[in-house]
Amino acid sequence: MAHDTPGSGPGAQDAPGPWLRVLRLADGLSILAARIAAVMITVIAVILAYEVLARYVFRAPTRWTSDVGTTLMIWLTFLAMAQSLRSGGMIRITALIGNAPPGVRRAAQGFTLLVIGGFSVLAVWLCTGALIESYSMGRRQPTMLQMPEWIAEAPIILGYACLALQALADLIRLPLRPAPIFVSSEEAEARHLSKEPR
Amino acid sequence: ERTLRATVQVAVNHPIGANVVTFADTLRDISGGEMTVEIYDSAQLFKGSEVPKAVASGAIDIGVVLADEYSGTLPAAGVFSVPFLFPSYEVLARAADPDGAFRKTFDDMIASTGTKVLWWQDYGPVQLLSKGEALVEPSQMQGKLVRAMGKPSGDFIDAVGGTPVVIGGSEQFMAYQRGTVDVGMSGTTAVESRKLYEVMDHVTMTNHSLAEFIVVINDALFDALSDEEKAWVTEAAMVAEQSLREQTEANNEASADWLSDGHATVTPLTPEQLAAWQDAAAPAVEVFVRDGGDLGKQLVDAIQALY
Amino acid sequence: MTPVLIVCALVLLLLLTGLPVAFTLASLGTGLIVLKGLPLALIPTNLFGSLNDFVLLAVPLFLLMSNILLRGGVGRDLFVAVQSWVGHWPGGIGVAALLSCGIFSAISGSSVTTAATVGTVAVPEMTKRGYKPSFTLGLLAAGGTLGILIPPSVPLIVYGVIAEESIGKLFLAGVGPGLLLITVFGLYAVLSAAFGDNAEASPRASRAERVLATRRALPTVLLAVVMLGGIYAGAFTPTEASAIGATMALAITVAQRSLGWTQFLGAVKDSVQTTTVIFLIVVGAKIFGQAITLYQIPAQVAHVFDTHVPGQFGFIVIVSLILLFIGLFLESMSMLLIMVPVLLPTVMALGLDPIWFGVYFVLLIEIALITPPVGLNLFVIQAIANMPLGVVVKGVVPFVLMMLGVAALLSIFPQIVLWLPFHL
Ligand code: NA
Ligand code: NA
Repeated sequence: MAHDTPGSGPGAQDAPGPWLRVLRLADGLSILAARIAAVMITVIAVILAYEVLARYVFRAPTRWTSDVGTTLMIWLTFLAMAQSLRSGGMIRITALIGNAPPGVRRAAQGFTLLVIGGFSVLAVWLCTGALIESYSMGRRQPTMLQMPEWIAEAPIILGYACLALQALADLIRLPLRPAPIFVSSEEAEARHLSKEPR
Repeated sequence: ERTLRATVQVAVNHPIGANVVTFADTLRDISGGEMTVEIYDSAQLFKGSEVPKAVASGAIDIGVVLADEYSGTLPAAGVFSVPFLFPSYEVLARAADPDGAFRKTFDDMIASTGTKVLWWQDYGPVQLLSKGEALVEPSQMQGKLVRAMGKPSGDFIDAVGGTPVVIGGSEQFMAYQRGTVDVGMSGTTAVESRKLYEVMDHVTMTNHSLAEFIVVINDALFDALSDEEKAWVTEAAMVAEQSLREQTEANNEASADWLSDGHATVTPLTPEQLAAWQDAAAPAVEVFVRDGGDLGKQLVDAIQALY
Repeated sequence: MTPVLIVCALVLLLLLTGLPVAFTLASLGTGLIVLKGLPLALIPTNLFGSLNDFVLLAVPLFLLMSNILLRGGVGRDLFVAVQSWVGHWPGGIGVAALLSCGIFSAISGSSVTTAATVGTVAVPEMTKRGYKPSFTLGLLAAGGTLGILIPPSVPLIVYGVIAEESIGKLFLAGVGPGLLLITVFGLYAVLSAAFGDNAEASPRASRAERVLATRRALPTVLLAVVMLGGIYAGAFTPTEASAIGATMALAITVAQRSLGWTQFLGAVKDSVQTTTVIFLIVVGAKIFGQAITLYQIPAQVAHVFDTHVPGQFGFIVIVSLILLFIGLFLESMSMLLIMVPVLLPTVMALGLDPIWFGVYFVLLIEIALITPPVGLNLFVIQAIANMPLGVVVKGVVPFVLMMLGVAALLSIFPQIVLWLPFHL
């Protein structure tokens, strides 16, 4: 599942030419978003542990930890989404295409990127409309904190926008690079885990 | 011919779900089969918290939702959870009068979010549960961890000196069994159906608030119905509402009787004890009026005029 | 029945093109919605709603905890301690490996981390002592699967969210079957050492060695006790337990100086990526699940069972066969998220306990984790041992048979699952 070794992801070197900057921007955004997500997961652990402490030691449970924790979780999931495409970490069945000739592998990867890109654009479009509705209606969650709903909705649009960009960048690079090599994500993770330094 | 899709977060054999079936059957009969309702129960499509948005956006035509789910967006929608505002079934029935001030104000408020209220589903009063002793005095709540369902019930617990801990319906049993909270909160019938009496041996009949569900339909869809269709839908909705209101009172009394028949200690409040609870809970009514603004004030006044 | 078959064929076709599971489900769900003229508003409503659930927060945090412990070298401490107690028995090192898997399962929510953590230390030790490679690798691949049955468990959390069942109850329900599996596996290890295998036992550890090793492993065991004890005693919810676990794991590994900054960052990064990968499937499955519900597919499946299959037992047998087949190819989370919404209405209609079904489903996922061609635990152990996949596959055969036997036991005696959550 999650790993950093290039599976179906980027190959040897980047495409030359004017696109280079755009492509690097997409990569950079993906990496930055994933880093922010890493900070968030740590923050979630700490605030929830604090909640238990507050309840038992101070007998004063907080009103905000569950809402803030859940919202951060949504942010981190969607922020890290593009990076998981970039690193080839998504779960897929590679049994059939793994051994196919290079042309087929390229076509399969192209199809994947088109579907992901297409769905992401649709998601951004539909969700933006829904977010505007939430915001203008002043929708809030019916919890103790009553957080405005758009706060947990915005990352979904941002995440799919990054993903659409990343899919486009990978699609542009597809013909310029050697055909992608599909190691099943499971195998890749297994190798990654077994080589963990400890 | 027209088919409406409805989402329900409980099963169709639960009173709230069965009531939607009553609506569907009535609508089919009175429209001579012109209008049918497809029911998706057990939250197959949407959780309760998603319903206001799902119906407003047209993702689903009709949805059943606890009125409190609107209370984030519209604080005044938490009115049914304002402590001791509805002292009896009679007051609730008067408040539900379609031509009355309370009903009109409430339904218009919900309509402002793009969801038209079709009918109300009474599920009955909410009680406090405890272990070892009944909670006859509000002072017994001091420093206790108490299950809350959301913001409005949380405000009540704050007011009487307890500490609210929000716990979902499905984790309720374990939270009581394991003592995650000291005091429980639940509708009377749920104490029986969810077997809560096994882990909380005392039920204090505070009747401090109401679990009121509302059934909403997408506003634009309702507007697009023909006048004849609107009349059918409205009539079927009123049939469903009346039938549940009658059943609910009977069901709740039956549950209370069943519980006191050797399953739990059921303690009603004396008028003096009730008065003490009402006094202690007064700050929560103030919070509601402050958060709910003009609408909140109007709703509270409209109810108090019905006492 | 035709729509059911068409949808099945489409899922399979898209998966075979190598389209990631998350987007197979999301795009097929979207396609079905558009095709039937259902409102497009379903899509944003789902995307906004699918992860907005406090219960799901336990997933990233349990992952974070196991990743921290994995990188903090907890596997070695645990194994050494258990080995000092039982290693001198016949088949003792195998038993030590199994017990280590069991203990680590009580702090890890995933099978892969369990197999990796214990496997990295136990495989070389068992190999050194002359255990047959296929037996060693099979035992660790299978022992690792305990990670999702013994609480905490990521699949049980996700099941609880789909089925709206108590995570606490599901966790308690996994304990009985988990202990049963360890016992059965352990007996097999002892018996196969007694008859046939000429593997040597490790020398009996001295009292001082035992004390030293146990002291080193104690914090980890304590962590399991605090977390599960806390859930059991009602001190905190499963989600809070995950946060306490992650924080304690960090404190322990830092105090023991076994977790550096780089390892910590690695653990955090892995947890984020795995979380994202799992949750994207959750999101895709929500869109897909809603589309097939609106096509009445789960209702049709329930109807087919109702008219053609006699009773609960027939349902269990057929579902098991289907899941065993799907489990050959599909990864665990995808199995769960695709199949549970389809089957749940039938489970309810037949009067099966949804808590029992969740645990039974997870047992079948465990089998899927060690059946080729796609079995996550097979790959982990293969990579650790650096041996051909065939050796691991040969080794898991007896374990798969034992797990099928346990599955049959759970069907005949559902109390193994249900006693603890309902009576303790
Ligand atoms: Na576990
Ligand atoms: Na498999």
